[in-house]
Amino acid sequence: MYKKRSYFRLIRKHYLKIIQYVVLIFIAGLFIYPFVWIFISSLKDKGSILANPWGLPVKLFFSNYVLAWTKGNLGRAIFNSLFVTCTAVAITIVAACPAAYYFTKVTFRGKFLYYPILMSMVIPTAVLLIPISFLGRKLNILDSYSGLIFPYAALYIPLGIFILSNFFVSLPESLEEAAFLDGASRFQTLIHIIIPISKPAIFSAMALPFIFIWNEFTLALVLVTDSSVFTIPLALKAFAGSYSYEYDLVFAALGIVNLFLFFILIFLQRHFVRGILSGAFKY
Amino acid sequence: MKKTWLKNKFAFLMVLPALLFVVIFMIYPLLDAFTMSFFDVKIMGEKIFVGFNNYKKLLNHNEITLISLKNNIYFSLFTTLGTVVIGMILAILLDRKIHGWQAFRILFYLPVTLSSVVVSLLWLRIYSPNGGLLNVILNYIQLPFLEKNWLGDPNIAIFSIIMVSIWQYSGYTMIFFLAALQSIPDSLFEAARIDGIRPGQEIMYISFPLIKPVIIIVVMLQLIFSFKVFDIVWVMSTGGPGYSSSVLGTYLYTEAFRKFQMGYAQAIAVFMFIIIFSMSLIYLKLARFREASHEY
Repeated sequence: MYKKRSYFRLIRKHYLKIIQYVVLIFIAGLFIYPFVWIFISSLKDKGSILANPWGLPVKLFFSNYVLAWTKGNLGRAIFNSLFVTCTAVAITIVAACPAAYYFTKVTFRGKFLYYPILMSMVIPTAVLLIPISFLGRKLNILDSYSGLIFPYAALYIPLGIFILSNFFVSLPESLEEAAFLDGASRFQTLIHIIIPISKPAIFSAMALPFIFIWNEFTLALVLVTDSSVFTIPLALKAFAGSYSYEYDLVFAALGIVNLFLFFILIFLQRHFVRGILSGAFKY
Repeated sequence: MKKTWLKNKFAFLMVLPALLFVVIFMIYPLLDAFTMSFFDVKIMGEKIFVGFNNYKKLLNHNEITLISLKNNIYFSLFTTLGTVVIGMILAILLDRKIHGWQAFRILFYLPVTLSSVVVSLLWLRIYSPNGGLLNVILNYIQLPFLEKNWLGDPNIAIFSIIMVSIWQYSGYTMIFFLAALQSIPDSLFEAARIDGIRPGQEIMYISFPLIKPVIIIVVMLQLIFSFKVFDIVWVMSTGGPGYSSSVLGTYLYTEAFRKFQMGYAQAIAVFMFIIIFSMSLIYLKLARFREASHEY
C-alpha cells in the first residue's frame, strides 16, 4: 500500500518536472531566438532578409561582416569602448576602495559625507545631460576620451562604494586588530589584508560598472560628436542611421557587437550576477 | 591632539578622490540644472533670468507634458508588472533542483547585458512593417488580424516599446527572485510536505510570504528605474509618431538638443528629478523597513 502510493507520487513528481522543463525550454527559446535570428540574418543578403525573414540562408554572405566592420568603423568603436570602459572602471575601483574602507571602518570627521555620496546614485542621467555637456565644454573635455571616462567614473563610484562598504562592514574587526598588533597602519592593513580577501566583492564592484559603461548611450550621445571617439552604442546608432535600409549590414554589425559582448560575459557572468545582487540600487 | 588631526586628514585624503568625482560630475551639474531651469539659456551659454516661466510653460495646460507623463507612468507600471511577473515565473521554474539551472539563468539575463541600442535595433527589425519577424510569424500562425504597424501606430507605439523593455529586463528581476527563493531553507518545505502540502500550495504559503520583502524592493526598484527611461524610446521611436510615445526623457532631449531650449529642458529635468527623488526616498524607507523586519 505504502509502496504503491510513493510510486504514484514519483510519477506525479516527474510529470511536474517534465512540464517544468518544457516550459523552461520554450521560454529560453523566446529569449534566445532573437540572437539566433541576428546571426542567421547577418549571413543573408538584403533580398532574402525581406523575402524570407525567418528561413535559413540559401547562400552565406560572410562579406556582410567585412563590410559592416569597415563601413561602421567597428574596430575603432570596439577599441574606444574597451579603452573608455577599462579606464573608467579602474578609476572607479581605485577611488571607491579606500573611500568605502575609511567610511565604514574609520571614525573621522568626514563620515557624514557617506550618505550624500550614496544618495547621488538616484540622480537620473537624463537630468545631468545638459549641465554635463556645458561642464564638458568648460573643462574642454568634449569629444575626447577623458570627456567620457571622468563622468562615467563619477557615475559609478557611488555604486562601487555601496557594494564594497556593504562587504567591508561584514568583515570581523579581529582581522584588522591582528594587523594593528603587528604594527601595520590603517592604509597598510587595507592594502595587504582587506583588499586581498575582498576580491569577490571587488570583482562584483567592477563587473557591474563594466557592463553598464560598456552599454552607456545617453551621456555619450551628448558628450561625443566626433566619430573617432564613438563608443560601440554610438557607432551602432550612427551606422544604423546612415545604412538604415542595408538590413544585412546592420545585422552583421549587431552580430559582431554581440559576439564581442558574449566573449566578455564568459569572463564576467559570475561576478555580474553577484554584482547585481549586491548593488541593487543602481542600474 | 595633533595625531588625531593628522589621522583625520589622512582619512579625508582617502575619500577625497571619490568625493571630488561625485561633486564635480554629479552634484555640481545637478545644482546647475536647478539654477538653469530659471533661465532662458542660449546654446552658447548666455542666460536670461525668467523666474518660474519655464515651469509655467511645462505645467500649465501643456499637452506634450501630459502625454509624456502618461507614457512615463504607463512605461513604469507595465514594465514593472511585466518584468516582476515574468521574472517570478522564471525564478520559480528555475528554483527546484533543475539540471542546468545556471545555463538557463545565463540565457534569461543575457538581454539585460545588452546595450539599449542593440536591443532597440534588433526590435526595430522585429517590429518592422516591412518584412519584420513579428508580423511574418503572426501571419504564419494564421493570426493576420493581429498584424500591426507596431511602432508606426500612435495608439500602440509606447506599448510596443514597453514589450521590448519587459523582454530585456525580466531576467534582471529573475536574478533577485531566484536568489531569494534559493535562500529559503529546504527544511521548511520538508516539514510542510510531511504535513501533506501540495506543490502549488508550497509556493503560495511558503515561498511568497518569505520573499515578500524582496518582491516589494524589486517592484520599487523597477518603478524607479523604468521611470528614468530615455535611450530605448529615443532609439526606437524618438518619441514619435508625433509625440505619441514621448516620455519625459525624450521630451527633455528634444527640447534641449533639437530645439535648443536649454532652460526649458532643464525645467523638465528638474520635474523628472523631483519625481524620481521622491520615489527613491520611499524606496529607502521601505528598504530600511526590510532590514529591520529581517532580523529574526
